[in-house]
Order: sequence, then structure tokens, then C-alpha cells
Amino acid sequence: MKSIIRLDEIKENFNTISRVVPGKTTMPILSMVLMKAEGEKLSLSATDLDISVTSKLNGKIEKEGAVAVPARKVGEIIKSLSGEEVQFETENDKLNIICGRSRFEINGRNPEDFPEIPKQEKKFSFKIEYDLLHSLIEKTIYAVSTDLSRPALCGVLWKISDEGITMVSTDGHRLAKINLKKSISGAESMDVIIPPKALSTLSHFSGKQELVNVNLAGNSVSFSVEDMMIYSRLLEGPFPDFNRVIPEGNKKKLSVSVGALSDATGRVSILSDSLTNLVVFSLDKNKLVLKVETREVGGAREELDAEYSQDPMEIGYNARYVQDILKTVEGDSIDFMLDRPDNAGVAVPGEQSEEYEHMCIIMPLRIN
Amino acid sequence: MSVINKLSKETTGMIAAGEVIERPVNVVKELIENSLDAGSERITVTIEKGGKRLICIEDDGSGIPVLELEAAADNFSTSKISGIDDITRVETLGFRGEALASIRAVSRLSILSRTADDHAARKVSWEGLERIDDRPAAREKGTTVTVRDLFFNLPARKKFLSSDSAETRRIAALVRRMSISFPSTSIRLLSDGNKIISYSGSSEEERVEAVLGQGNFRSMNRVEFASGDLRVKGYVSSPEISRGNRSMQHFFVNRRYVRDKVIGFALRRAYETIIPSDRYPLAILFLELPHHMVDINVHPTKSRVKFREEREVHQLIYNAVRDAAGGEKTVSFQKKVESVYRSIFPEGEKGLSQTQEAGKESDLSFRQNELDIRETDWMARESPRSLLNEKPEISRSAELYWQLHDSYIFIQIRNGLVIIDQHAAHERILYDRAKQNMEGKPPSVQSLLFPATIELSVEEYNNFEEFSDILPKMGFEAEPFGMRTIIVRGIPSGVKNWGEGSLMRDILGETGGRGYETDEMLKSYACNSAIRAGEKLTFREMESLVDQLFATEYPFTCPHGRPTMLRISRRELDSRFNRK
Repeated sequence: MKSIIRLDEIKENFNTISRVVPGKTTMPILSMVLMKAEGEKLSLSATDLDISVTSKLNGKIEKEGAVAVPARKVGEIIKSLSGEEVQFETENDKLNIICGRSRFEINGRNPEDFPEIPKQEKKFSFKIEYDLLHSLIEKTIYAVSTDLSRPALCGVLWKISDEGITMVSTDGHRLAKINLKKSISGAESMDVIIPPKALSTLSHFSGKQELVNVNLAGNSVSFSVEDMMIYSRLLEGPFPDFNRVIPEGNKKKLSVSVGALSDATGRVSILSDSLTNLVVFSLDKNKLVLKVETREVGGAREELDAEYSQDPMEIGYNARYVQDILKTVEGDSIDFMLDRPDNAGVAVPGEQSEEYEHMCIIMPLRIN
Repeated sequence: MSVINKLSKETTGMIAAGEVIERPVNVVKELIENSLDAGSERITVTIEKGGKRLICIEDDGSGIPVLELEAAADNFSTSKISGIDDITRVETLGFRGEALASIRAVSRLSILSRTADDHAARKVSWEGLERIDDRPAAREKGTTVTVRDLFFNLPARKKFLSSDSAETRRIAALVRRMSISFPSTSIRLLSDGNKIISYSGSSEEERVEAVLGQGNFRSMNRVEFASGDLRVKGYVSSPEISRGNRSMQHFFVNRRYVRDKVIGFALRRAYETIIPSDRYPLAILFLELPHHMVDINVHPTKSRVKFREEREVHQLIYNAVRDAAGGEKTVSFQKKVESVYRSIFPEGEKGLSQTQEAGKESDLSFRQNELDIRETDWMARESPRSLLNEKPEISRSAELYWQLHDSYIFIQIRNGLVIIDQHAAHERILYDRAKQNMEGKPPSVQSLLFPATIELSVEEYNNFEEFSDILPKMGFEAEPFGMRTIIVRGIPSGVKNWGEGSLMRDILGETGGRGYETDEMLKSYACNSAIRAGEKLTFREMESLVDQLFATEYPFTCPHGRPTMLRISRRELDSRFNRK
């Protein structure tokens, strides 16, 4: 193999695919990156066996070939270089990196040892703007469960139909839901559960991407952006029936500024119980008081202006869950639709986006 | 054909002596007891070759009247009692009248003594039973007993003695512990010309400190407790220091050193769940009770006693120690934990004041060492640093945490390393929380978005019914749902491994059948709902876990008594790498 690549391009791409390289592994080959020169492109691949990422770079390929090289060392070298171009050359399983007057020789491994990057059959695909998808991922990924005893909850459900996509995640204490209104031509109705790591890797892509091509087939999904491709297995369902738990009859509306609520929650929760993170929302006419009282630690309270016209009531929440929601809500205000202190609360942005509907459900912490 | 012989006086003397005198240390014990009984203020013990060649005890006690000196060494002669009834009134250490006689039977003994009333001292020497010398001599008031060539006439016994240094260690340990209950007596031990021990007369506290060493003494809590005629006082260690054996436990009954199972057991019980089950606290306990309530004539060496009211003694010790060990009332322990906490974790968190107080040390150690017990001085404080402020600060602190094999949390501290077992730590946190809930603190309940319906086995369901009053107190909101099925709508907040209800089955199923006690159930709950080994934690989670652990009452062990953390000092690391 011999290829010459623009340095700034490989710097960025190498960094992105390195994210998939597992930090600790019992299979040394997984700590490697596969470099392969073919046609006009140099491709870089990394995998942790669940997710694989491949990035293709344009360059001058003088000789085709491949080698597996240690991701960390090569990543460090590339990052440290300066100049316009960098040359990669192999001799058996050894990689030479030449840039300006610097020259490195690294022992690599036979490319045949590297796990095969699965080829996905094309079944059904659609395109979506990268920025939009990025923001939808952020709004759903935080509520994913980490309890492996129910694997379906450890991913984000995408319910696809020709009218759009509903994305749902829940860990049983809160739920995040997006209704993307988008006509997807030729879509079959299908439910897929996507592992969060695939989504977070995707959301780390940076640069000039415009459209993401999402391809679904059997038990896998792939996202392609320009010359990057992420392939991931899907999680097995079924996902629980979330419509059943979305409260319909919550009539008590509390509107409050997102920024003010987030700041105040952050402040009072400094003294909250670190096991439960309990913060009490005390609602009164056009007033919200956040209260924390922790035995042996102390207490805090903060008053906020709010719109609220119903009977006074107190509800306890896990402050961390509240903060998670506030981080994902766009716009200046948030509306809580509440019922009784022991029932699920609904949170929606004061103003919904035109492209999608965003809602969250948060279960209270009850203080008996 | 064998003939029945009447044994000679010499032989019976030696056999009897064997019961009391097994090795040099027994001689030293008997003679020091005599000196203490004689009201000595100053005792000097000189030994050579581990006491095998020479044991010499000099004191400034009341002395033995010249005319009685010869009789003193006869069997069953004593000045301490005159009849069997007196035994129940014995207030002196010795009383059996065997000591000198036994020693005389197996050594070359000489006694030099003078009372305040005598005009001159007298010295009598024996070789075995035979008196070989008797003459006036010079000395101040007091007694010098010299024992040479122990077991010179019993070569078989002599063979069983340990090395000189081992015998010397035994003697030194004995002198140390005997000195504890007679702090006002100054006592010295010289071995082959070297000064091994030198305690000057002092208060009880100073003497205890001298015997335990300063480092240990700082971690001791005072015990003082009385109930009726029983009184116990002394010192026990805070839970963070302990030993792998009982060598640092000394019990005294009416100032007499004893080995006693009742006291030992009560001590053990008092530390249950506070320190690991294979560790022993340091303890010095003085039990005082009316002489008629204890029988000291159980064994010739008088190191075992029998209490008339064993239960009472047990209860007294248990209560006293539990109180002092770091129990509910001890403020000092709470403070200590706080200082430990602050020393591990940078300040600036949760309202702690931002003071510069680097280098302050407290004394704690909690690690198991297979080699021997090493004193480790506790870490100095980290310099104050904010944990909760802007991001760069957090990442700086995050570097001090590291999770190994997704099971152990390594934390760099100023002069070493603390390793926390994440499961054991979380277990302790949840157990403490559940206990507080039992005592009336309301639980906080995380409502579930998807209430879980769980089908239980017959046994599990029976337990569910039996604990129907306990479960809500812990924070479980569950109700019967027909046919051995229950529906759970809320769980204690902070619980991991809910596993869609499998936790409920684990708790209710882990029974030994009947008589499943609440406490066992709490332990099972804590164990099953705690973070497991193998779960990856974020920095935030690690931080919060450690934070909560140090807020518990006994952060150093899990409810089953296993340690939650180990500490490896910088010094230990250095020495393992042969750097020092």
C-alpha cells in the first residue's frame, strides 16, 4: 500500500473513528484500526464488534493494500504532525508514515486478522438532515435505561411509518418522546431499537455533513454521512407500550422559564440527598418554590415566578431528572402538565418546533 | 509386674510445679504478682537467655519477715489467705501458696528480703528442695528473688522451651500487660543487659498509652459503664483500626489479667457489622465487681475466671463497648470520619469551609496485610479544591478516580491510595438507609412509569405477607394483585438492579424459611439492590457513591462485615518497590 492523503482530513476522521475503539479489550485486534487503500480512496475502519465505523478519504493511491495498525499510537502520531500531506506506505505488516521530514515505522498486523466489517443489505432507507437528527438524538438518548435485565429499554425506539418517525426512550422513571413529522416515501411501518452508542457516535461527527442516509435491514442499521459509515446491530424488542403510560388527563399547567428553573434546581440540589436527589416543587398561585431539606446536611429554598392558577400542591422529583429534561428543551419556557403529586407529570416546551413534537414524562419521588 | 510406690516429696513437688511453671514467663508472672501484692512501687525484672539462665525480680515492697523466709518457699504457704473461705474474699493477685514452692522445685532459687521492721536482710538459697545456704545479708526494704537454671533438674521440660528470643518476647508481653492494671508502679525489664521495657509510675491513661503506643492510643475511645455492682472501664479502638488476632486485647478482672471467653465474646458481638468478621478490635477493659461474684480459683495460673452472673457481665461489656466503639453516641468517631472524608476528598464541597489546613493527620488504617500488622498513619488532607464548579475543575478531580474491572474504585489520596469495593459500599449505603427508615425516617419512593406485576412462589408470597408492614417503610409500594401476584408501583429511590421486579423475588426468596428476621431481610435487600461488581460507573456516580458511603455510620464495612475499602499508603508502595 502506498497512499498520500491530506493531513487535515485524516486528522479529523481518524479522531472520529477512534471513538469506537474499545478502551479495554481482551481481543488485541480490536484496539487496531484497519487501513485499506483501494481505488481512489483510503478507508479507515474500527469496530468493537457491536458497532463498526468506516471512513473513506480521497487521496492519491499509488499502490493498493491494507494493514491493521494500533489505533492509539497512530492516532497520536497523526495528531502531532504538521504540514499539508501525509504519506502511508506498507512493507509487509509494517506501516511507514512520512510527513515532511518526519518518518515513523510502526509494526502492524495482518489485515486478514481484522474482523470483517459487515456488509449491509439494502432494505429500506431514507435521508434526514444531520443537524435535525443530531438534535433529536440529544433529546432522547439521556432517558435510555442501563438496566441490562430489560435490553429493549437500553436503546432508543424508532417507530417508522410513512407519516414520520416516533422516537422514544425510557428507563422506567422518565420517558422522552419525539414525533417527527416527515413524510418518508415508501416506508414500511417498522419498529427498531437502536443502541445508544451508535447514536452517540453519530452525533460526534462534526464538520460539513448535510444529509444522513439511514439504512435499515433485518437486525441492523447503518448511518452514512458523506464518506463515513456507522453500522450497528439493533436491540431486540419488544419495547413496552409507551402510549399506555402517557397521561391524558393532566390539567394543572405550570409554565416556568427554562433558564431560571435550571439555575435554581442546580443551586438547591447542592444540598439534596445524594442517594435520592430529592427536590420538592411547591406550587402556589403564579409561584414555584423549590425546596430541599436533607437531614444532617441542611436545606435550601428558592422562589421562582411561574404561571400557575390551580390549587397549591407539592411534588417531589429527582433533581437530576429535572435537569436532564431542561437541557433538552428548546425555547425559553417549559410547561409542566400535572395532576396529583403521585402521578406522572408531562413536560413539553412552551413552544413546539414546526418539524417535531417533543414531550417528556417524569415520575415523581414520593415523600410519605 | 508393677508395684505401687509412694512418690517422694521431691517428685510430687516437681509434678505440682509443672502445673504452674511451664516456662520462664510463668515464673516472672508469679513473682511479679508477689511483688505487686507486697505493695511495691518499683519493680525490676532482669532476665538472661530468655529467663532460662536467670530471672531476677527486685522490688521495694513490704518484704518477707526474716523469720518466715524459709517457710515462704514451702508448699501451700501463703500470707494471703488462711482458710478456704478466704478465697472468695481474695483481693490479692496470688493466694494459692504454690508459686515459690513450685519455682523452688525446678530451679536454683534464692530469696533475699527485708521488711521495714527487720534490722538486717536475710538470704536463703535452695537447689531444688535442698537448702544450701542461709545467711544475713544487706539490702533495703523489699525482696529480691533470683531464679537460676530453670528446669536444671527436669531436662525433658527444658527441651520444650522455645528459643531465647521467643521466651524473651513472651516475658516482655507479660510484663507489658501486667503493668497496665498497676500504672502507679514503675516497672522495668532488662534482658541480657538491654533495657526492653521501662515504664515509670504514671496515671492509668499514660500507662495505657505507653503500652499501646501513641499511634494506636489516638484511635482508642474511652469506655466507662456501670450497672449495679458491675463496673467496666477502659479503652476500645475505633472501627478503622483492628488486628488480625487478639494480641491487642487485654482484659482485667479486679486488676487481675485474665483470658475470658465471656468478655471476649461480648467484645466481638459489640463490633459485629462494624469491623470485618475476621478482624479483632484493640481493647483494654477493666472489669470491677464484688469479689464474691467471681471465682478466680479455676486454674493454677489464675488466668481464667468464672463469673457468677455471666449474662450480666456479657450485657454490661456489650453495652459499654457498643457505645464507645463508634456507636450511636460517639461524637469523636463521627468527627473522625468527617476528617477522613475531607482528607480523601478535596474540600469546597457541600458547604465545607475552604480552609487551608494541609498536613493535618489523624490515625486510621484499614487494610489486611498478610505479613503482619503495620501501623499506617492516616493521610494528610488534600489541598482544597472545588468539585462542583466549572468543568475543568471537575475533570481534574475525575482524574483522581478510576474504576478497575468495573468493580473497584481507586481514589488517589494525598499519600496513598484508597480502593473501594463498589458493591460493598453501596450495600452499606442502602442498608443504613433502610435501617433509618425502620426507625421512622420516611422513605422516598420512586414511582414507576410501568408498574411491575410479579408472580411469586408460595414461599415468596408468604414472606411478602409477613413483611407487609416492613416493605412500605423501606419504600416499596406493592400490593396483592391476586393469585400470588403482586403489583409494584414504587420502589425506594436509589435502588439499582430493579430488574423489572426480579429484585423483589430475590429479597423475598432469600429466606431460610421461618424466622426470617427483619435485619436479615434488610441485608438481603441491600445486597441484592446494590450496584454489582462489573457495572460501569461514571465519574459522577463514583463520586456520589463515595460521598454517600462516608455519610453512613460505619463506612468501613458492609452489613455482612466485609470491608468496603482498603488503603495502601504511599509508604507501603514505596517499600514494596524497595524504594525505602
